[in-house]
Amino acid sequence: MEQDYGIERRLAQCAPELHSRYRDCVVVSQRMLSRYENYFPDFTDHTVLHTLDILDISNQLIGGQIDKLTAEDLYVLLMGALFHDVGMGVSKSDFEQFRQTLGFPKPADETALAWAVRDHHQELSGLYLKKYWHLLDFPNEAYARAVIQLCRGHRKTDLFDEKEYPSAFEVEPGKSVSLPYLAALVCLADELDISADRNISFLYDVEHMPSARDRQEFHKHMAIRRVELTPERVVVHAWTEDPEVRGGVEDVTAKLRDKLLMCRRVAAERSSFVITQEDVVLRMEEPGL
Amino acid sequence: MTITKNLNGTHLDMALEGRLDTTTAPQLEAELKQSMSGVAELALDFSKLEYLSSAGLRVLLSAQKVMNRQGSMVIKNVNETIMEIFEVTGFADILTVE
Repeated sequence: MEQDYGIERRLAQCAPELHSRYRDCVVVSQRMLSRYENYFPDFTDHTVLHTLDILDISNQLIGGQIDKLTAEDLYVLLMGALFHDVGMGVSKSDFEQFRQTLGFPKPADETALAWAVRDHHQELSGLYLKKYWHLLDFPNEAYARAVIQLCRGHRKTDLFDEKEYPSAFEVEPGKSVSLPYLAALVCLADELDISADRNISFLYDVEHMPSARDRQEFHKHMAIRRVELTPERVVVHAWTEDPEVRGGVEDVTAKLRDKLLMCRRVAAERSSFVITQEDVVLRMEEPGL
Repeated sequence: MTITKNLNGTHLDMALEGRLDTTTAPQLEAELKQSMSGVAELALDFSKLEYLSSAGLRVLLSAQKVMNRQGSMVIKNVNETIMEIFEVTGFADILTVE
C-alpha cells in the first residue's frame, strides 16, 4: 500500500496555525533522533523514517474515522508520533538527571547504558518534553502534557488508568483531546512497525554486531517481510528457515496480538473510536510464492 | 524582535534582539530571504537574543542550508541559555557557533 500521511495533510487544511507549530518541531525531532545513532548504531531504526511509518500506520488504523478527530487531536497525535522516541537521543547529562528521577541504577558500561536507554526511552521522552516543552512552541502546557502522555504510553504504560489518561483531556477551555485513543494509536502503530523495510539489511552489518541480543532482534525483523493491515485483521508475512528465528517471529506475533487486543479495548472502552482489526495472523511464506 | 542588518560587500552582519520564537521567526525568515542573495559570509550576532524556540531553529537551519551552497554562516556571541538550547536540540552539531 502507498504510504499516506493524511493526518498531517488534514491538520494543514483545518488548523494551519497548529500545523505550523508542528512543522517547526520536525527539525528538532530529526536532530534528536539522528543523535541516537551516534550512541547506539546497532539499534533498530528509530529515525524520522520510523516516525513517518507511525503516521502511515496510524492513518490506516484511523481509516474513515479521521473526520471525527479534531484539530487538537491531530496536532497531539502528530507531535506524539514525532517525539515518542526522542528519549533515545537525550544528552548524557540529561540522561543522568532523568535516570535519577526515574530511580534506576547507573549503567555499569556502554552496553548496559544502551539497554537502559532502550528499556526506559518512553519515560526519557516524557521527561525530555517535560523539561524542554517551552522550546517546542506548544500553544500551552496542557498540549505538552497530552503529548508527554502519548510518549509515555507507547510502551509499558497502563492506558486504562483514568487519572493518567482521562477520556477527555482538556487542552484549551472547551477543547479536549481523546487521550486514551491517541495513545493507543501511537502504541499500536509503534508495535506494528516491525517489518524488514524498517531495517534495510544492507544498511546494517548484522553478523558483526557485538551484541547477540541485537543480532537476534535484527534477524527477527528481517524475517518479517511485510505487515499488512486489512480492515479485519493484521497479517504478518514472514519467512525464515532458522527454527530459532521462526520462534522469535511467533513470539513477536503473539506480542503484537496482545498489544492489538489491549489497544482495541482501550479504544472501545475509553473513547468513541474503534480499532477495527480483530486479530493478528502469521503467514509463513517462502519468498517468491 | 529587532533585527539590525549591515551589508558590507558580500559580508552580511545581522544582529537579533529579543525573542526568536513562533511569533517572530517569520520576520527573520523574511529578512533573510530578502537579504541573502549574493552574500558569501553571513554572521548572526546573538548577544542580545534572549530566547530561541523550534520555529527559530527551523529558520536557522534553512539559512545554514542556503549558506552551505553560497558561502559560510557563523553565529556569534551566543549566551549560555541559547547555547543550552543548541545542545539539547542537537543543533550544536550542525551550526557553527563562535
